[in-house]
Amino acid sequence: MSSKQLLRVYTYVIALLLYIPIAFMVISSFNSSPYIGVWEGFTTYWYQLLLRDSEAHIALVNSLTIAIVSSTLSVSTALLAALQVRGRRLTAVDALVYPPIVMPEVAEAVALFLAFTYLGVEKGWLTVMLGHTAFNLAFAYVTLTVSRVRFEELEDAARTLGAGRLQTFKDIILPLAMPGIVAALAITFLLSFTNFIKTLFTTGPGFYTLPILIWNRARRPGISEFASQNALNALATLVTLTALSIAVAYTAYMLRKAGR
Amino acid sequence: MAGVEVRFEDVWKSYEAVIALRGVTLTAPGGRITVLLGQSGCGKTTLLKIAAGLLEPDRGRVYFNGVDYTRVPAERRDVGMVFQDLALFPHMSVFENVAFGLRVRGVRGLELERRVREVLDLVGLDGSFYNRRVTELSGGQQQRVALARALVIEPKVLLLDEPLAHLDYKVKQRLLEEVRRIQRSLRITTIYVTHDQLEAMAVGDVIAVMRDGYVVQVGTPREVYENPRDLYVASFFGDANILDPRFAGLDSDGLVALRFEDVILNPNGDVDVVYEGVVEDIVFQGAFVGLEVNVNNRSLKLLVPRREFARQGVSLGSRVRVGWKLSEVRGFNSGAT
Amino acid sequence: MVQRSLVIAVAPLVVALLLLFYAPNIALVYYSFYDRVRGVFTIDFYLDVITNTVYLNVILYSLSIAVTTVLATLALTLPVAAYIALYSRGFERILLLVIFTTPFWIDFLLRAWALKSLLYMVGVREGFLALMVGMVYDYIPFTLLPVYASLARMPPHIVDVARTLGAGSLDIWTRIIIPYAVPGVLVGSALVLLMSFTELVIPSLLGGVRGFTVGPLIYTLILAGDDWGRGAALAIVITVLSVLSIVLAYRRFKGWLL
Repeated sequence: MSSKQLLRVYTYVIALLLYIPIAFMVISSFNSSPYIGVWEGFTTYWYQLLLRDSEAHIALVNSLTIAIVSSTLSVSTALLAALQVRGRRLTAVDALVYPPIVMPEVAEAVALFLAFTYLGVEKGWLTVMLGHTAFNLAFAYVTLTVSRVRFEELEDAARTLGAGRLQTFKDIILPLAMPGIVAALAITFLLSFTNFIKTLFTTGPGFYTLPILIWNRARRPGISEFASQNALNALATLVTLTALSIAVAYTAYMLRKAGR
Repeated sequence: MAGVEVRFEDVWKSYEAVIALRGVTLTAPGGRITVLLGQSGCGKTTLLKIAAGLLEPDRGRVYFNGVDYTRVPAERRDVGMVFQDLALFPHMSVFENVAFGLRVRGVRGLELERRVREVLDLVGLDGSFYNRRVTELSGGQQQRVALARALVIEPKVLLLDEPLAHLDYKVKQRLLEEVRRIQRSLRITTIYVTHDQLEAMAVGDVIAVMRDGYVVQVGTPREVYENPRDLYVASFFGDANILDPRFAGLDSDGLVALRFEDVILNPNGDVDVVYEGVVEDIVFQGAFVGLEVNVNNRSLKLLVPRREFARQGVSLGSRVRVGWKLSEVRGFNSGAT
Repeated sequence: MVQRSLVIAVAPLVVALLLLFYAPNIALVYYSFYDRVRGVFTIDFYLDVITNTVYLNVILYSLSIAVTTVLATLALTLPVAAYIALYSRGFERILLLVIFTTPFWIDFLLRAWALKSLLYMVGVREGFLALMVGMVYDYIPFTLLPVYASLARMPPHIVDVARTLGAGSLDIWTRIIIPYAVPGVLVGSALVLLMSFTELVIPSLLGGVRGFTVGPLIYTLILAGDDWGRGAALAIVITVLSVLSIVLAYRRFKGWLL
């Protein structure tokens, strides 16, 4: 076998290994046995259980609302800035933007915890959302500037043709910047939707998102039927599928854009 | 219509530490093509953008037919501009690119269609192009769309920023002719920026040679070519030997310029200065042949018509005579280049 | 005029970052020096963190796990990156890139959870082995992509050129492929070192008693132990360590990070 063939086989083996745990989780969520690795037959029982799982419903609503608000807020704020920052200038803004990306998340989470505690803010939806936004602002800004939302010569061209600022924005910038905006929205939504560490430090008693719920149940499996292994697998499968469908939609959108 | 005269008066512009324009005063006559010629960084594009209203000068004024336009923003100037990278809208079809300026002006329906069609006919693009995406077109075709887009709004002034820079030689030649043809038929005042002297000669009614933020010389191509104001213009606009005046036969200071084609190979009288030398290099250039002749360890370049070259039967290492009339030697007051 | 519109556009971003990121970090610094019990400012927490063997051991243990993670992911992913960058073409390349980037979109917690059940089934219980498998599993994409990105910048046909010059397979790997991979290797290593060093989820979920690394330690100090001073000081120490490693990698290979 040539070295190329060898590398190829190796590559696909690694690819397969990457997905085996996820596949196992999905399959287990349809296993009628509550015991791991013992296949007793196909069931949708664990998903029916989820329908009655009011904690999961609350967590879902919290996760979704926080992710939507945080991504919208951070992308619109970052877009406003990214549209005006010309060329390689404004390194000062860059210098402000990169630390939140580089700083270890657990340290940032501690900082947020201490700040909210110091201010005496009641921890819950608002503190979690603000904590996510701190991080999302930076990611949105970097995504927007990397994926190009400024088209200086095109803007100049539109102006010489008689278009004012608003019209140039509507007809030229917005359509062309759309891929970058969609990318920033997708990334920040998912960062928030799946965020765990910062949520853990900024949440208060009785407030939880999906990752927090999964974490609590994963650490104490079996304290209720909702927290049983396969019920948890079903919940994790749904969250994974949500994230993946956003990823697939996003990739398809980008490929369609690139294909044109 | 005679076309709008554009006048720059003492225009200054700097970017952070760099001074791009140092007091430019220049008139682009109505209905003519004025070429801004110079190397990159000489300020020619900055001046063009000031004409367009995309940049505001730090000091100085811009007049359109005597009316002060300095503070009029680009979108209200009625100028048509073709950008260096064309700046076609990549998400629009050919038709929509051209229609953009009209839509902005509220032109709709049949009127819109008629005017877009007219201008696309003028630049030689037929109906089969209308729905094509601009990104699918060849360089020359994109060029035509950009020109059409600038012309469709019936601008007062047409501004062209190195419009043919990235094109093949043949395509460039054809488009140069078309730009002239279209400009003549519309009688539109045109300012054309280029770094290419051949392009400048081919297209310009008036040439303004720029350097380091100054306009060094203004004139018709022939005036500038025959009477360059200094050594820089002499060697940048056309080619010239830069010589010691005593060697050239003049009694003056500084340096002098002598055009390649003004040096005569093996002259029969009718010249004022004659030297002997050895042919060191021969470059065949088509209609002309370039020779490099070593005269007393000075290198002298000549441009000889092909037939003349063939008649003389010169080859590498040949001993030849070279000569010129003193009236062809250009001396300059100062040694400054 | 232009300046003012610029300021208006940038101000919300800057103010939001100052309020949501920089102000909390001031609180972090404040509490790392402030002894709440005695009501005085002190550097004892820092001294404690870098001299107390309990903390020091946890830091060193976490570092060793992080370094092992870096080396293991590199060894596993270098051939994959080489295959994608050098041999895959067209559709296969897109497919492989999608396969290897998709895990990015699934959260660490979920992947760790999925792995935990699988490991449980094959008989691997919480402990060092499970912890390391979890780390490597979660961080493979983070080394793979930078290494791939730097290999993809190799001029096309350079391997063919080397062959025509008489280079054998070994020469090609040691003299061409590996040197080209170096920037990506450094960036990927810095990234994985930084993240795995401060990881919280994987050690807690998979490490069992061997999972007491700095992430869980900080969690315990702050949320369980109410020991804000040491928690904050420790957070700052690991931040400084991590940022240093990133800055060093970035200095050396500007422009590779993004």
